Amino acid sequence: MSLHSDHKYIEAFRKGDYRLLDELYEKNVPQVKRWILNNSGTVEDAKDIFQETIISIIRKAHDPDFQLTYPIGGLIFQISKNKWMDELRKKKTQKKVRNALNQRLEDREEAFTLLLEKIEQDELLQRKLDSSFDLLSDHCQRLLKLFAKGAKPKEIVAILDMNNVNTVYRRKNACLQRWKELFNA
Amino acid sequence: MPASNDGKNFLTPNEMENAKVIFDYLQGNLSAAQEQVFEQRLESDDEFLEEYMLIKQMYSHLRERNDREMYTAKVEELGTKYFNKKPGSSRFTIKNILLLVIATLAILFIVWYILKPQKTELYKDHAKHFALHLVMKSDVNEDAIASEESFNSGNYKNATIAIQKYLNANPMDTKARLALGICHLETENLQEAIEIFDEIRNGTSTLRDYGTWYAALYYVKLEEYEQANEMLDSISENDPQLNKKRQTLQDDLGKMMK
Repeated sequence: MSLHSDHKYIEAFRKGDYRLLDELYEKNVPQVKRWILNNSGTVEDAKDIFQETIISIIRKAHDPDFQLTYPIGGLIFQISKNKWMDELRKKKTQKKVRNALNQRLEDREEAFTLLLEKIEQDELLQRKLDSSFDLLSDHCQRLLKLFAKGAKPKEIVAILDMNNVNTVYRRKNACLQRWKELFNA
Repeated sequence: MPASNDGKNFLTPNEMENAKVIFDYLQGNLSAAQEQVFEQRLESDDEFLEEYMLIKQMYSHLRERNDREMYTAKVEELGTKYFNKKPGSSRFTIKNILLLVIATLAILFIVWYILKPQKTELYKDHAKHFALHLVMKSDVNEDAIASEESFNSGNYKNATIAIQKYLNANPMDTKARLALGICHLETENLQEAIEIFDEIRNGTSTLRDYGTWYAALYYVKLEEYEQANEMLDSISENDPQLNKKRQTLQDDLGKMMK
């Protein structure tokens, strides 16, 4: 499938440009809010769900392989609906869940459903990466973040007061390995 | 395997080399020739591919983490802007409440007395739907025939069922999808209707403007005239017939909102 014109949002987020977020809120908040209010939620619930949805899309945007082939509005709406139905399930309000489920479009494309599942799986993965990263020492965390920012080893030597470039490389690899071990533990 | 305690111990040369080369590849630090060798290895070495996938996820995660403070602050700011009431908007003194009740009752009475008959007509006046043509020459598709017959005779309940069956076999037919949205709109399944119209107007189909037109009619039906008007503003100039309809509805909305 070809890229959708809304892929511009993904590209911007990937580059750390969040100016287009305002546009996404303006276009999509009313629909999500209306749906959640119609399905036993409050404005505060709608806000929480919408915020979580936007964050999951931003996180997904950082995956360099992710290509948006659907309108982002449809994606936001569907992720928000799924999140709200999960909330209703947690609250064990079966009847409300049934009502909400009845309002889902039955004939969504399979690829779209797979994309939603992938985003949900990635959220779990991100949480695991987050919790394992938090277990690294402060020094390792700073070192890896600097590498990901594109800092040069010489700059890192100066910033982190390390001996030389070789030490920086060795520590980077060792920190990565430790993170992997914590992730797989 | 090395016992690396928080990065303080060394790795085997092979592990170090793998992690380094993968990181370099992700950061675009390899030459074209090195990239080619790297990609060939990804294709032939499953273990290396597995390590690559994990380090790629870790790298993406680091990049996202570096941005997190910035985007969470923005998301917080926008959440407040789009979901919370403006501070100071709820000063509920007894005097204000009484004035508010009296004013509301007066407005409600005036609105009901003056506008009620017109409002009920506004949607009907403008909801003149196109004739649905799904049947191709020499086509004997029963669902297409049933969809056309029910829709064009205004039997939207039966048309809903027939069009849904038709769409099961032709999911990419946007015209049929639009017609399904209209059926939902006419049978008061408003949530289903707006979902379809939003999907069409946000898509790339040539019927985008019709998705917008019907989303506007949805708001007319809900008597949310400002939103209807905003929606109409976003219709492009491409279709003269639709633009004429748009203009007429906006004129009527203008009178209604005075």
